[in-house]
Amino acid sequence: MLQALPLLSVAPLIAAALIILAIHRDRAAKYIALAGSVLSLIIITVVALYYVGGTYRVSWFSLQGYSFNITTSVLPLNALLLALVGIVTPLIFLYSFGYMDTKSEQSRYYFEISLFAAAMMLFAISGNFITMFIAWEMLGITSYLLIGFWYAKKVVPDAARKAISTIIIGDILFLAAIIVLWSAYRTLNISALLSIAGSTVYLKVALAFILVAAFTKSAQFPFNEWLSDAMEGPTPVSAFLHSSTMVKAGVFLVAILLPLYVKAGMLMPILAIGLITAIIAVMNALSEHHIKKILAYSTMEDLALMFIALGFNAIFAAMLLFVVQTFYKALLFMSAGSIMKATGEENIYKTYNFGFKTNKLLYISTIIGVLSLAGIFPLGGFFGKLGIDTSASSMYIYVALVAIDFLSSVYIFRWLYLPSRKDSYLSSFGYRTVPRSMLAPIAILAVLVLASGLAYFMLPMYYAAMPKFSIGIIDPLIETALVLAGLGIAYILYSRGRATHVDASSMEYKLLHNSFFINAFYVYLLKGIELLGEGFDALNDAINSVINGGAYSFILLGNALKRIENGSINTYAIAFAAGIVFLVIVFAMNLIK
Amino acid sequence: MIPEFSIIFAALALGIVLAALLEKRFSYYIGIAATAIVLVVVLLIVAYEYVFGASVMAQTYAYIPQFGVHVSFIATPISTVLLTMTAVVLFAAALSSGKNGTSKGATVLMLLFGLAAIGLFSSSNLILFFIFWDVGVVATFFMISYMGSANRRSAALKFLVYSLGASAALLLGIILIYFGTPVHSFNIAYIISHGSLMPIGVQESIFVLLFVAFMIKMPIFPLHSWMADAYTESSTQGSMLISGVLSKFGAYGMLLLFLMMPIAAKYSTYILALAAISAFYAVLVAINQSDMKRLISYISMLDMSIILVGIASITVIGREGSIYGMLAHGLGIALLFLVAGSIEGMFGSRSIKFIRGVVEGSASAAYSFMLGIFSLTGVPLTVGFIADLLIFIGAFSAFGLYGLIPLGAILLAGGLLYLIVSRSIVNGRNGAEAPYLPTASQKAGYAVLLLFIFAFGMLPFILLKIIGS
Repeated sequence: MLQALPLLSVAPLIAAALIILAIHRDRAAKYIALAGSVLSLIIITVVALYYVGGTYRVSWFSLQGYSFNITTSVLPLNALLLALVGIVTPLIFLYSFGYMDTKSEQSRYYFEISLFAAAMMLFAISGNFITMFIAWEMLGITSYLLIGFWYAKKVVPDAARKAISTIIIGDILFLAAIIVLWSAYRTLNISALLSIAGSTVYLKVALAFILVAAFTKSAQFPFNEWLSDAMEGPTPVSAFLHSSTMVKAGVFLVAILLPLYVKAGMLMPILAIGLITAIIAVMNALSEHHIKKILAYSTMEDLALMFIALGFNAIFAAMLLFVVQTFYKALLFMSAGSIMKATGEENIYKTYNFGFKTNKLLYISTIIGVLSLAGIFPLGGFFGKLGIDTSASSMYIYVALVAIDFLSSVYIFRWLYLPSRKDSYLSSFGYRTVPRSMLAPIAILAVLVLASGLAYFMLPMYYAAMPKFSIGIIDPLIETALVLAGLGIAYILYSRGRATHVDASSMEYKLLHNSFFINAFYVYLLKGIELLGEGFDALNDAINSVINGGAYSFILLGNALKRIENGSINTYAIAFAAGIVFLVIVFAMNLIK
Repeated sequence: MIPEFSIIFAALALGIVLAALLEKRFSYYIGIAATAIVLVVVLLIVAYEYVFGASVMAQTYAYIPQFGVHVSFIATPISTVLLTMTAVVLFAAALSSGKNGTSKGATVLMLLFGLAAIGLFSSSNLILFFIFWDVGVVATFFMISYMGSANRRSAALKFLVYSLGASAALLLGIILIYFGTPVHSFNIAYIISHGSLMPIGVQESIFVLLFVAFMIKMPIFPLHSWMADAYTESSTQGSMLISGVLSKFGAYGMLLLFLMMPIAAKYSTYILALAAISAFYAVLVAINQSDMKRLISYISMLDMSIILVGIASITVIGREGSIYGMLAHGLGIALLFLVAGSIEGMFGSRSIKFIRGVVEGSASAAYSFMLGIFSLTGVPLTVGFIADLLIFIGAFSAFGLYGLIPLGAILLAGGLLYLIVSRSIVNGRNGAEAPYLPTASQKAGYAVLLLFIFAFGMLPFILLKIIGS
């Protein structure tokens, strides 16, 4: 029975159930949720230390002699993701203590986010596609609920709908892939599927479906639009969604199936989509004004970089960025949330006075996060980005990647400099009132970000199958030089009181902030579907009226015929006589013949 | 041996008599008591068949022995699932009608309808099948014309005309079957095992006749015009029963038809095409509906088309999936209609242009609606997932990737329903001022349906073991 322990890491699920049952649930919810997440962290620690390589299965239902199981498997990659989720979850919950400080709706929030955490943990340990699909759909639905948490705000329902209607495309395709894989191989076990020999058409089709599903979850082109709108959710949710859960699910799915993609020769589309998305993300991040949306586009870029690495079949580089990105992105989102809470502003051009003097801990932690994202030695981001640059297969792609690194350095320092501008007329008191429950997780994450560079050395020890890339001399020099150049340019443009401002109506803004018109495309697509719907409705009415017309014609016929049956002897006698005459004529005609 | 069918029919018949004789204030409780007994007995049948394997439960009495016609009821694996669905929907309908919303006539008709449904799903010969089919039609006709909303009369008449057409085709088909079988017989089990002995020509005529009859009841494009009116104009309980249970008359018949007539395999590709067209047609028509119940009607039609996909695959898994799909559709669509009824009560209108902020008025209605959507779009742990998975495994093995095309219609339906949620269910605050919030009995109805939606979604092995045996 001890093998079932990994399944217990979904302890937040129990917490969610308890939250519903609790008596003073609005008051107790946060403690129950935190306790659940800490419990799961303990279990996850044990699992990651002692259970690696173990699998556990319990039959769910069987069909035609084939068993559909709930399978958990703790392969090294699973353990990695599980550990990341386990570490981040309690921090997010703790941060929520301070951030979600309204009295009401506490239980709904902690219920939903506990369910969300449990879904991601289940996803991390799932050893077959059935289990994974359960987690996958739970993730989609709970993220929908969380993004739409403040549904009373005007734009929120639409943002949530945009997320779910993108995600549902992936859900249906994932289901289709499951069906194809099961029909072709009669198994859904991931390790069994990884060992199948040869590549068939069905394998390719299933992999293509899964790839699209992964792109919808990880917000890659052309499914990238929901991610920035998802910023309407509470900030802890954004921090959670963008660091270790949800968007990572797509990357993770492709990562564990990477041998199959290699076998099927399908790395090219992964690489291409990754590159397109990275370019879109950087362009948007440079021109965005919303403090959280800049980070959202940055996540999109990080994910795109991971996909690019997967496209090079460089699993180590991808997973390294996967790990380090978790910490710095969680940290940066928490900082953004704190700034928003301190200033009450979402527009980055209207925030001021963020600095060393106003909140030491917050400022230093934020700088650590920013430096890591930009890729400064020896922080984690440096190794992550370097790994992807060095695995580039051609010179052109290398140049593109380095340019992306440079631009991401520009936008992240812009993100840092703009709120750091001084405006002595505005009060900076807000920064001092950021509650401790929000600062503590930020500080812990800052330490983790500082330490995350070690992942470069530790990952290969942990997971022997990942060949380490070697750091040369030239690559790090190029990267560092470009990052510093980005820092300098951002400083010149944005650190003064009158920062360079890209208006929403200006040409530059339109040039940068269009996501290649994918949003407009969707608007037209929906219009098209709506028109189609109108057409079909008209057709339906037409069918209906044909049938009604048919029915009505019987009534008319009846009305016409009822005149004959009028009860008058004269009429009947005439008809009788006419009939006789008619018959006589007919017989006579026959006789003549 | 416990005479389980006698108990069910006795409970329903007694309920009908008592509801008709006693005062109106007892009707609600009589309805609940009768349907609760049915539910308990049916769940006992399920438990028995799960534990002891599907030892086929049957009860037989002579009716017209000269023609080998017996009043004979049997709980085959397929019937067991449908009986479960019927019992749950009946109980939920009885429970949710509320003390003030129940009249003598409503209870009588509901129980009569339940009698017809249970009789039909458990009848072991085609004569009995036909009798209960027509009892169901009569009960439904009165249910629509007696308890519906403004345009109920024309809706009921339209339903009746279509149903008479279906009944005529059905009767003719049954007579042809009787004379087509080597030993003239109405027995369904016998026909299933000996159907292949019938001459091809006879099989073809029977297939066409019965296919049309069942197509009307399901309904499948292009014979669906009665559906939207009937579902929309009925009372809430009427909509639940008609959409949840009556549509299964057609689906169950279709399933039997494919089992009885091996010739069906010849047409399966065309039927898949028809089902796919019907699915996309339904969802595309649904897009432009502004009436909440009408919209749900077309979603229901979409789901019935998906069930037809499973039946048309002529694979064991696809068939099992379609049986599970009938369960899923019955529970899910009954839930959606029940919620739609509550919402209509809240806002005094069914137009989605007027419905705003349901969640502010009644969180339970809003969340039940969302959970119903989850089941209809096949989210795991709801009953809809098992259905979709099995249906499309069957469709894929029969038709290859073409078999997966109807998934696109489910995708569109999901997008549409989430749009409704964002526009009407959670948007705005009007719900907070709604004068009539969902009653406790309605909420109990949601709870019953949701309980079974999740129970059969999380524990699919119970019914799948029964179906598979």
